[in-house]
Amino acid sequence: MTKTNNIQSILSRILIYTLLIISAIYFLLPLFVMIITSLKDIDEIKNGNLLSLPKEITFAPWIEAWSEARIGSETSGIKPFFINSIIMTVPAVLISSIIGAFNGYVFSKWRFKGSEVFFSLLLFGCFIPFQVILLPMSQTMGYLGLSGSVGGLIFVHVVYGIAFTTLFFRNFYVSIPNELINAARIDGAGFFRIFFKILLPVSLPIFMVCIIWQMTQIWNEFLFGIIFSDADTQPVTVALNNLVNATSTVKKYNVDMAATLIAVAPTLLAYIISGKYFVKGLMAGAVK
Amino acid sequence: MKSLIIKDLYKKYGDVEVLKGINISLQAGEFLVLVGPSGCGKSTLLSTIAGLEDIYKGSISLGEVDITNLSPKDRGLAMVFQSYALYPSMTVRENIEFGLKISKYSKQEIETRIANSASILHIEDLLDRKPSQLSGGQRQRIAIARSISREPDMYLFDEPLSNLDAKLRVKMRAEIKKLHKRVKKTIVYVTHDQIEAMTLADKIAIMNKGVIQQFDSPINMYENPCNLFTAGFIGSPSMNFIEVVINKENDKLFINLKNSNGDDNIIYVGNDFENLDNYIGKKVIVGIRPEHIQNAFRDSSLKDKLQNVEATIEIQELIGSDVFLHITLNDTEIISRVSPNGAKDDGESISLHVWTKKILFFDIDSEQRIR
Repeated sequence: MTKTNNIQSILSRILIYTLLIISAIYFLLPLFVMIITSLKDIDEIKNGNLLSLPKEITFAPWIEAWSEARIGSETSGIKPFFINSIIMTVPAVLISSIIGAFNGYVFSKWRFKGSEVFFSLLLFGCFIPFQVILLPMSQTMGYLGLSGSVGGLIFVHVVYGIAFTTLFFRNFYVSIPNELINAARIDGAGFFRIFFKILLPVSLPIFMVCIIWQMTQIWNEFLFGIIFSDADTQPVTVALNNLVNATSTVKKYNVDMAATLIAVAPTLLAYIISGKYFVKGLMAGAVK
Repeated sequence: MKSLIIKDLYKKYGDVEVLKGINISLQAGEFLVLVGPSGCGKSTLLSTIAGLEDIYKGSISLGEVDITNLSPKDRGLAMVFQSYALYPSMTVRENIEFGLKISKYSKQEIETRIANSASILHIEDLLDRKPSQLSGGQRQRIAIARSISREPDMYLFDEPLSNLDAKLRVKMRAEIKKLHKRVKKTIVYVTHDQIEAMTLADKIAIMNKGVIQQFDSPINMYENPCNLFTAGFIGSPSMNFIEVVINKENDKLFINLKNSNGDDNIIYVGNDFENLDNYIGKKVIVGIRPEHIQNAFRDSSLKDKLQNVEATIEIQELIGSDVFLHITLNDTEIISRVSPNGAKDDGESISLHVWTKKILFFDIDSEQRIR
């Protein structure tokens, strides 16, 4: 009895691991190909095997992608656009997270008449497709004088982000007992002091969720990037597209790969550094 | 020391009335326990006293001051919560300081108050720890110390012991009682545990469905419940309720408690009732506490006040000091609390005594006591 059980459990173990290893290979293989391709020179790519390791490692494609490649009319590499993306993403992420935290605080701890309706309407924002708002948004940005600027991109990403960040923070704060708020009220703390002294200090996990989520969304976003920007304010995603899709020059696969890796590096790093907070934060409030 | 007076307090959530005309008058330094089943409004009442919830109408005053419309912090009270409500990101010391700093006390004053409250609850060693590093009992001590440090006119406790295990609960219960003796402040304490209510209170208010059923001292609550609800709520095991018909023969009122064999047990009920005569031939409910129907009353002077009841033991539960016998009278299963000496087996018949004077009568419709 125990023997057959034992064999069964070993067999299922083997099955599970086989499946996991196959999936891991499946997902990691493209990354592997990208990395080795970016380290080969162009002749080796043309003559060699896609999966073979580079005979001689060269960083020239990375340098070219970063600062020399022709994008649009300039030969600046993706560096200036990478910087554009940083200038756009950092404020957009921070502003939308802070507003979300504040909204979530009000919706969970200071409910007012109609606050549930208000919250539901706000959530609606999560489901509005980007294409729908392109025209009204460009008009609005025209009124505000933000057309074609990084500021305009920050604005649109903050507006879109608030729906998600509010949802995250509200669900997180709902799991914090109201007694805590009541205790602070009896201690004499007001609306802002309770937020800053009691709730914010325990909000690190959900801030991490918001930052990762928003950063991934905003950094990788393409549609707003291409429509609401000028040639010199394009984010890195648009620049990458222009580089890879350029038809005038010879295809340089190694430079394309290097540029792509540079463009995805920040989001990848964010996941690796704070992934454990992400899982923790998403689970918070879901269990209880 | 300040007295608490609540007049005609109403509280509504939308159209639902959750408190329907609460009147309480508590003398300075008294310990009031609000007790009742969940959803009876006791916690809501406490929140309105604290100012955490708005009221619909009515007034609350503490001492000479009408606090009905004051903000929570200006009411001069401190509250201890069921979940302790310690600020998780702060150390114990910071938790206690938080309110004091907001009230802008001097550094020296704050230090003195922390030292003082910490020594009362023996938590000096814990001051630099975070709440997450403390056990439930320790957290509750911190919460109480925090409330003491405010030096309030009145303390509010919202089920402070229900998150603790049974043993610790008994210990903390005694500590709260000692604390009351020491600070001599007015206390309002909410619990659903009637033993906590009986042991701690100077006055008990039993609540049900947003109404105070009875407001009385613990002993009166036990001996003289005013209706079926309070009679059934206080006491463990709770009072036995049996439907009977009031009869009269030769100018003597009597009831019949038939046992499971169909044998009659005639009990004469005495003549100290004003209104029982009105119920002759009608059904009423009698209430008998388990200890008033038993086999060995210790007090021998009761001898001629007892009457016999023959019954059959269905099952018995030994709890050590007593045995609970389950017997059936008038088709109702009741509990009799007997001494473990001279135990009998299940299924055997037993001769019990009823302390006649302790039998209570209730109207079957209005559920009010018949006196």
